[in-house]
Amino acid sequence: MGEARTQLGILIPEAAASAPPESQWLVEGTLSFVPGALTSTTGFRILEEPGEVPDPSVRRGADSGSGEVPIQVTGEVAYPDGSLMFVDVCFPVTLAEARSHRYWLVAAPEGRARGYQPEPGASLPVITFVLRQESGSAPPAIDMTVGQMMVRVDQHPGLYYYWYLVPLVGILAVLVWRKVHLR
Amino acid sequence: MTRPTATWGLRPLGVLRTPRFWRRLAQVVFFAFFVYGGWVSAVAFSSREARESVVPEGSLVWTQGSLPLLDAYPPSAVCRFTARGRAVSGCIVALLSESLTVAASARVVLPYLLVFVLLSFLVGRLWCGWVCPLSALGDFLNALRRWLGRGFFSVGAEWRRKLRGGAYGLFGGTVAVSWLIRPERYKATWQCWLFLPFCQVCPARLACPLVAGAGPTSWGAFTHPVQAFMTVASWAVLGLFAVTFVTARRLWCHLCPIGLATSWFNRGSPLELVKEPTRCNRCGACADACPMSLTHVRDEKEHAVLNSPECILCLRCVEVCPRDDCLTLKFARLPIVKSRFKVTRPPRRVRPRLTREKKEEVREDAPVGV
Repeated sequence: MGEARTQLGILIPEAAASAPPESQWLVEGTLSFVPGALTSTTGFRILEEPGEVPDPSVRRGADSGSGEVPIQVTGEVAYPDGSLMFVDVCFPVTLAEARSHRYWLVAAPEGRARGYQPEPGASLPVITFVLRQESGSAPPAIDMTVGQMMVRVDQHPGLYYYWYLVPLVGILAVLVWRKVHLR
Repeated sequence: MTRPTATWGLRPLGVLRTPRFWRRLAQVVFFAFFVYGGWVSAVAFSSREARESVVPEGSLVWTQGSLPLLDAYPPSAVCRFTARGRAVSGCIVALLSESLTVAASARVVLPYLLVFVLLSFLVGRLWCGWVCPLSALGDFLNALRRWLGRGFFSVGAEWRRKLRGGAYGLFGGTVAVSWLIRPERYKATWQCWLFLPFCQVCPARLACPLVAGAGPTSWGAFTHPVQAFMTVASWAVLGLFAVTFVTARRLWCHLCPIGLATSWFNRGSPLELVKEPTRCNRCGACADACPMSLTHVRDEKEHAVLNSPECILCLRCVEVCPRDDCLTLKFARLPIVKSRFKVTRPPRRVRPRLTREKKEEVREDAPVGV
């Protein structure tokens, strides 16, 4: 039975050019799954390159050249049938300056619910990620699309990602004005 | 024989004159696009890497990042329940509901919200009349009613107000439940079966997988009592949906929370239905033809712009209006469709069928010299 893999892309936009090169970051986020997709997180792995999944019996730890990234899984919330609904994950990433890096999230077979047919689309996560610097105080801003776990790292929290509010408020203002005046 | 008909600015010939033809065409195209478009997207638009790693071949899952703008418009490119219950997108109600439950960042929600607001502002509730795949199904049922020769009843103003209140209740209830079942509030496992509460009773939950070829996947979900309750409730809602479309045309559209969300933009939209009161003779053809049972087009005597929150801009009123230039659909003051009184052939189905004997009689009755 093959692994359910989800592509995980971490991109550094232009605003992150000021970040120190090869800096270490911690990615924290919540994955959500459909009922029956996974029963436990013991098989969770994040790989730097798609390929052979390391032996599940090998204890995970610091990257020893196997291409595997250590991952911490906490805060599991389960459906009544025991399968996972939400999982909080945390893993370190190394982001080079103005580069993007793709990771592979693998849910190994031992984590599957009994009778669950492997279907990669079934374990698509719906995530809100928060990225923070290991030693930093203020968490940088992030953005991502649902499904492929596209995580965008940014050094500027706050207004940078809230530019959407400008046209949003503008449209609503025009709408209200037209409602009032164009009778 | 003469009959009223609306014409488009470009004045095409024959059946292409009528807004109804274009509306039906749009409904068919968008229905196919929304229900089966995920497969096309998976094959044609997504990257090879994404197809191989995320989207199973032949699946109806709409791949993220392929056409992101369409993901945000209500209902989305693929309803959650269309792709075997495992689509990753959804309509505006699903988006808000899910965002509240999983506590999604505003940075994630805002782009989708912006697309929804922008499109709703531009075209108002045109979605309901021309694009919505559920109302396309409903119009099919309505056509079945006409084919069977059955009548329908119109919804009065009082009932329309009550139904709109019901739509507010559904919308508010969905938002409230979605917020209350946030994971940090979980004390009992039954709460998770209320995830996406409106989606669980939406007619699309049962109807879309059927027409998408995924089978009756959602019809027998009885794992938990709460889930069983929601499944039975969805049966009831689907039944209500079908009955209302057959007996009262678009009564469901008064209740739909997605229609409610788009209706907030109807009155201020640049897409306007404009009436010239001096040309109106109050014949009431518009009120009779309106599938939403609205009468304000007939009754309005002073105000030129007729955009009502309940109007779905199906243009039936413009089509049947017998007065030249009385009703006009405009976008940013530019006329698109105008009501016209044209000399046309009568519809084939209402022409009397003459037998050979009848034709002989008609010839005999004809005046001499004709």
